[in-house]
Amino acid sequence: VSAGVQLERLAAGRVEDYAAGELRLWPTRTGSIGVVRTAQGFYALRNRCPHQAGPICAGKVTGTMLPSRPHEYRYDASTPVIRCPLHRWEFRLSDGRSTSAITRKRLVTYGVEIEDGAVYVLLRPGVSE
Amino acid sequence: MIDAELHVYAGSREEILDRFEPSLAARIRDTAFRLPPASPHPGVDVFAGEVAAATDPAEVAERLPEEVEWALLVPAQIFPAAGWLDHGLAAAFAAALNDHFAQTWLPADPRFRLAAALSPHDAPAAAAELRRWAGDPRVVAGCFAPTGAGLGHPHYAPLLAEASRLELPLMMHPSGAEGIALGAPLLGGGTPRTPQETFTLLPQVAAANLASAVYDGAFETHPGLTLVLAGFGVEWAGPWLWKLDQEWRGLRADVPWLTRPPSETLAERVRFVLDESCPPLDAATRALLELVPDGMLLYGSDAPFGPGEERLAALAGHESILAGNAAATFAAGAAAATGGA
Repeated sequence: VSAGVQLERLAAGRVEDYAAGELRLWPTRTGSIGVVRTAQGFYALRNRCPHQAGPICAGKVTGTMLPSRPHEYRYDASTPVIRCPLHRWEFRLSDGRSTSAITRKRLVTYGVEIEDGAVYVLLRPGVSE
Repeated sequence: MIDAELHVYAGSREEILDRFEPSLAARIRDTAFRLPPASPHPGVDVFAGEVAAATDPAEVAERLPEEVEWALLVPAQIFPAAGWLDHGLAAAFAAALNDHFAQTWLPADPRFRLAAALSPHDAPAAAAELRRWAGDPRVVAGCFAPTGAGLGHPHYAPLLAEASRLELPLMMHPSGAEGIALGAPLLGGGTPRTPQETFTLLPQVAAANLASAVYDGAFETHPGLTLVLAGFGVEWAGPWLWKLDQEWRGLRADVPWLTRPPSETLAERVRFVLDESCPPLDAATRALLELVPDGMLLYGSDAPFGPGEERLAALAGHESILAGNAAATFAAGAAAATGGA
């Protein structure tokens, strides 16, 4: 979003309402947005998997496996992803991209703002959510 | 044209007896050891007359069509050894066949190349056998039949590592023991009671072995590995490639060593021989083959069971399938054989 553009804010509760890793859903005009608190901060995402439009926020927020040698596992807890419950496709919460480029489609993500302990999702103006 | 699958045979056990270590030769002579039949498939012996000709290098050379630049000799009698219980004998038999074909066939025609026979039971021994031939530029591949272990199983690691290091493709071909012999691959749903069931179900074996190699990371562990599948058909491969990708996308975290869709890796590292195990190349088959990357297909006459004239006619103009793909696949050996880089 260009600097100076006014963003609509969606009130999404208070910081203390969120347990680590817990994903809370907030209704919008056309669906819902999930907000989750992780060790890396708050993330917000549209509750619609870019693969088959599944309710991705019903999936698990977790770390992910980095590329490795066969039968070695390198878990990366610093890059939270969400795994869709329908087909287990993973998307990074930070930018909505899939892990290991399993698809070019991206999850819709939003900025999150904390103000006086309140959590706000930054929506793009004019976008029907 | 390059013929990537020409079956050849030792004519009698006496013909190869001297190739064995003396004590083993004595054991063979004193037992009921018989050379495996021409067709590795159970219940199929109707080709006996034709096959007799495939024991004579001069006759096979004479039969080669003029347009054949070179032909890959496949010592088909090694394949049934996948169902043998005597694994030491299987390895010795592979070596004897290789000595026989290298010394009596390869000099007979400059167009002959050899896929070294390998026993699948003892992978370190198979690796050593492949290494034994690596210095001979006329030997451009190894060949073996599958066992009950998938290709990605650690059992095969020594052989795959050596083939990768030597950049010699490995051809896998049915043994005829699938589903019916201890140590041979199982067939889904139970044990077949007719040859027709075995034939029909053979694609299962190829699909299972490739899936094993893919998800176990064999192509990542062995970056020089190329697999050639002959005798398993190919019409099933297109939808199956899609399935490999689909499972990778969903379960990527379980196999993080795969960093791109398996179909992309297989397109580079696996070849299917379009031989007599494939259906006629009619419109329906062509539609199925459209789903398989062109570079994965090699022409093989499957002689003496082929070539089907209709198949050859249908491939007219497909230079990559008839020659280019095979030339690239067997590049290391072929280049050496012609004095190339």
